Amino acid sequence: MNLINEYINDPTNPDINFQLAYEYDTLGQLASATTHYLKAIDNYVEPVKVYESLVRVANCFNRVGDRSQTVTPILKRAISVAPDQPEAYYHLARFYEAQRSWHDSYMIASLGLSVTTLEGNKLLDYPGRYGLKFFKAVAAWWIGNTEESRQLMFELFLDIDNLSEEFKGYVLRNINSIGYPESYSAYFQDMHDRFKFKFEGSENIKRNYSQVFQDLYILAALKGKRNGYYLEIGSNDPYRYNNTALLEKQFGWKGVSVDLDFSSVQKFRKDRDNPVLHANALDLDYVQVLASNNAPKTIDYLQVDCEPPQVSLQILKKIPFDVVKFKIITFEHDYYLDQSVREESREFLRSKNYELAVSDIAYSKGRNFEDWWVHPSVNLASPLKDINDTVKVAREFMFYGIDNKNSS
Amino acid sequence: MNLAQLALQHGGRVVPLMLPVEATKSMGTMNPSIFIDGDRILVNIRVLNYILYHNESQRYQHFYGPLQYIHPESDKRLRTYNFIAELNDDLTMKWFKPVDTRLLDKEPLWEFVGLEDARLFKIGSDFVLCGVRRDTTPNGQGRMELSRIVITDSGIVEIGRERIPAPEPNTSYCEKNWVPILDGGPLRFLKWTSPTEIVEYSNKETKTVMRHTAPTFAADIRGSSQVLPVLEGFLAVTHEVYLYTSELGSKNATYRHRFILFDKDMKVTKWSKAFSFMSAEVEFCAGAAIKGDNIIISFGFQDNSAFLLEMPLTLVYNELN
Repeated sequence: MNLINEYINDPTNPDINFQLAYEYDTLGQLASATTHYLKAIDNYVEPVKVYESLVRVANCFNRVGDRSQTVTPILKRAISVAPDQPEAYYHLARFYEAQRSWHDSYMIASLGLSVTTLEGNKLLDYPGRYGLKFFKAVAAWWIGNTEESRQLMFELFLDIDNLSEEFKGYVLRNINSIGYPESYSAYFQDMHDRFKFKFEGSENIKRNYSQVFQDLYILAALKGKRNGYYLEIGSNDPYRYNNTALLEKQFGWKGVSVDLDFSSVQKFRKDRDNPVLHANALDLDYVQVLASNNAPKTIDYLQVDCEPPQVSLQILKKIPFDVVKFKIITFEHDYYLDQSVREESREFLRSKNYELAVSDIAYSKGRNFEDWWVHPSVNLASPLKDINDTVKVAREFMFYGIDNKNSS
Repeated sequence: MNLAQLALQHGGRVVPLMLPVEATKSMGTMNPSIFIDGDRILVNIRVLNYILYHNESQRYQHFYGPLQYIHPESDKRLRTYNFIAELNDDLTMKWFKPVDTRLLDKEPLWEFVGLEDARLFKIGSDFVLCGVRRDTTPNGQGRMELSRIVITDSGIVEIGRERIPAPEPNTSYCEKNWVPILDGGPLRFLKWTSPTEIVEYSNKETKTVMRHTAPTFAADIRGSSQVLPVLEGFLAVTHEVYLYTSELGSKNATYRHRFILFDKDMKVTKWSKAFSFMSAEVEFCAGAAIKGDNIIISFGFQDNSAFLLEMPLTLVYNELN
């Protein structure tokens, strides 16, 4: 009532019109809301304010339903007025999704994700950037980009605690329906019953971070060891596809990591406690690196995972195997992409008296990219060994009865 | 002039007539018609199946133009439903009910469906709604229709419907906004104000009973509120429409209203300047009633909202010249 009187006394004031419209909008009085949003639009000078009112008008018509010829042009106009704002892209992508206009939804969501980095305005019913990502993922599926869809949906899944309840539900339903991306094998606590290599503490692991369960394998091989030590060469992201995050965060391991990419290093330093060196792994003196980080003479885990695999091989050859022992080694040879490295790496590690434990691990059939090695001093349980000539899909190797949607 | 602003400055008030969204489906409510029956304050509210998109500046026009009725895309008909509400003394809503027209409804033949801009009043002891209906012929011919309704605790039912012919030769395309003269006599309507034409309807026949040349203060003055008896004669709110087009040829319109005082012979004696109610281009008054020293005017705002405006009657007289 006060707002109506304020409007009567100052009818061209855009803020009063917007507030009154928003009040009507909240009450579901969408026709009345439309009137005052349009009056706000007429009187605002700042493009972003005009934009906000246009988005809300479009949403009024969208809520009423059966008015697509009104909703879409208004949202497009809003984008034209303030193309760096994310909300109109989100609503338009969502609208097209509801209309099953997949190419339109995909285009608009992609544009939104690339054009805008702004936080967005909750007043405009914008959940956040993940909303755009979700609708891109859905549309990607229906236009045939199924692997991209799985990848995007899985990224949302990994961040599920930061999604609204509405989107949590959407993402869970979708991930169950379309499966994980080919390039990723993830462990979550509800898979524990099917985990082949249970160890002390494995029942408490809520999720892992490695690409193909390397973290679980290391812990299984070392019987759930706590307070171990690692040397991680090619650490990349502190969590995503990372082999040491679980070791550090839940099992108290120390260690040192190395990576060339500065943004990954910055992120690592922010999110992890153990140190990371920003360096070219080919240039390092590893005796010095380990000494300056007070590493023990027996190190529980060595990762060598750089790009391309020839670089990994060169780095492997720089490791001072004569002065330090590693219990478990994972070496990425990317055999499915490049056949030049695997045999030489095997010859080299055998020459250093390491035993191949699992050969040609893969995230899906035909994608064998890594070997896992063990020092002879480790009393490795026989199920943890598999060096026959076949490619081992990680999910099948590590779990009973996992439906491997991406393996065929 | 913004009449609501003037009213607020002089102790008046503006009250929204808001129906729950469950009843309106969030659509527009418009052009209410107030009628005071003894100590009961009743109002008819027109509810639509569309929302008006009206961009007054024309800078952010709808796809089809600056002024568009946004109806469902699966139902291109513009439908009107009427709701009756009883109000408390403070003009808050005591109850509301839809007018149940099912007994007399027929398959509509044109795209505007229902009784539009109905004025509420009584004939004898019967409540009636009188508005224009355009859905009975394939070409949308409009005629005033008298809808007799029964208001009971269990609901409001339309029990009679009469189509009022235009005076002979009754060939015009559309007759609308005839407003009833509430003097308790035979059913008479103010049909036009410039020139003033009064018609009387009885025995299914309409005759022009008065025609006066009116002073020229606007091009086309038409009826809005019911014509209310006052000491000097009659008082009514009238409207005038200024139609124009956008640069691309899409329709647009401005509505303005006036108070007009008639003598007892329905000759225009005084009139106010044209005013808006709340500074919008599309507003429409369909009712007024006198309550003590005040007048209560009911009006629609941009075809999307309905309001009551209560102000001292003396203020109205101050505006008349």
